Amino acid sequence: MSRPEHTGPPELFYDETESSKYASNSHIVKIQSEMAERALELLALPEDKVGYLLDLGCGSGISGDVISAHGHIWVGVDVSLPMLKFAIGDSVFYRDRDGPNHEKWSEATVLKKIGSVLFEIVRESGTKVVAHANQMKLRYVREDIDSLSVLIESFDMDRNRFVNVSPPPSPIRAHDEFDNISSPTVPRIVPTKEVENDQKKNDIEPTDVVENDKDSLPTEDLRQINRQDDEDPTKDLVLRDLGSGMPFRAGTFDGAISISAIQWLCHANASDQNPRKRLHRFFQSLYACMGRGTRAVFQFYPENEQQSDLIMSQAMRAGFNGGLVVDFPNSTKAKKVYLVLMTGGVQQLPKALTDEQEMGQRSQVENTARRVFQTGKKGGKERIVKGSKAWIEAKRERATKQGREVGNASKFSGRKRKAKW
Amino acid sequence: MKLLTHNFLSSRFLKNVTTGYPLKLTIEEKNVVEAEIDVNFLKNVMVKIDYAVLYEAAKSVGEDENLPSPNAIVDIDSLNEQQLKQLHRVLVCLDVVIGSLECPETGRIFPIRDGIPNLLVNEDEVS
Repeated sequence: MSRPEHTGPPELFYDETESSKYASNSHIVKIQSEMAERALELLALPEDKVGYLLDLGCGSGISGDVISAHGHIWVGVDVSLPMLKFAIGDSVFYRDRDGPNHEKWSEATVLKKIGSVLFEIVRESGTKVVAHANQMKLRYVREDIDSLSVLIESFDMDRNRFVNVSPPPSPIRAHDEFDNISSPTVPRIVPTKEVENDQKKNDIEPTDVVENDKDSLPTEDLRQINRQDDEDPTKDLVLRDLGSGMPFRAGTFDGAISISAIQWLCHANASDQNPRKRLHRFFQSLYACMGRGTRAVFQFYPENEQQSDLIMSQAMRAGFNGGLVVDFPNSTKAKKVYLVLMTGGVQQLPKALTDEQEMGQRSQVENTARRVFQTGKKGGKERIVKGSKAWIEAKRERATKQGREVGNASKFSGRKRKAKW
Repeated sequence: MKLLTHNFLSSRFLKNVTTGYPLKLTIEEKNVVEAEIDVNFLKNVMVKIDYAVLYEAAKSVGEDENLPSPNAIVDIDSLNEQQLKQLHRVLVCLDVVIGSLECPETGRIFPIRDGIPNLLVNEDEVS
């Protein structure tokens, strides 16, 4: 498995592209949510109490969504601004928000989708300005984010077509650009009447494209994608490097969770960074801002024993009690390591999950069934038993290739005669 | 950034800063997000909050109306509905979109953009 923390500092690794990949990958989202659920469980918060929690390295807010779903209020800390923008809901788009086809899209995803459709429209009309069309759209959308939401609302994803534009998102600017780069036969890609005309010319099915006439259109189509404008009031975000300490007052939080973040602290990304010192500073300031008798749960992927030892020892030095809880220790894939840290007094560590049944409920595939063991056979080829049907057929084939005369192939080849005969 | 978060933020991580609290808040743009009032949470969080700081912060946004005076000891149970509502509004609903935070001791300024306070510092600035 490749480790992103080897490639450079997190604030550079999680740029806009990477953040959007991260936040829209359903597999990542699923696994992260599961780990966050488990971390919350390990946190063992008192029931019926709305907690004020800390999400360390919250990223795009996947783990935070889980906290919100449990009814707690949280503060997220992360070093990547694009990730935080994702978490805060800036330029997050929903398709079919409360419906069955619910999907969360980043701006990049939306652009990609619209971009590919543009590509098709251009291709259908037989012109060659494909790349220009894409770039134009990207630039044009970036200039005016509000027109993007208009664009998406009027874009029917299932039929890959613009269905309505009201008001048209400033087409003049886009036209100008287009005229500069192409011949007069180039279709207008912006959703104006020209698109409609072009489509008709190209014998695309008769369209129900109507301009500035919302009433005649099915509203479900129009409202499939909504820009998120109602922010979630249960969270707050802070741009901060974990390694330079937590910026909070003493005794602030009722608990802290961190999903796949702490291993980033074990790497120095600049000459003035010392992982040991940064971890120490982090745990010390974290210990201070946690309330008494609360817990902090870190899920992480330790690279080797030294790494988990380093993290553990720094946490203990800062005053925490606790240790590692390893779920499914015997499985390569489902194995998850949680560092459970407790403030105030020695308590018993929660039990790790090992149960086979529990395993079945989790979404990860056990690798054992797919493994193929080869024993004692050269090259994995099965030896054919002499005199068997397969042997006869192989021999006949060989003889045919050599040009010798052979008997006809029949279904009776190689069969035993009955004793009576 | 909510005033709730502001109430807990401190610049103690900076070199030679002893308390670093409260951070001076300047607000250029704010936003109000409606949310359901949760008295349980208010109760839980009011124990930890520095009410005088919250009151000052609310006052700077012009939201101190209906808030109980900072001199009185704030007991959630003694507040009337209007006061509770305002407290909830100030703590949870109000969002600072653009502004800045200033360390009271060193004067280091942390900008707030898009509702996210930027508390990044250089390695040589921290203790």
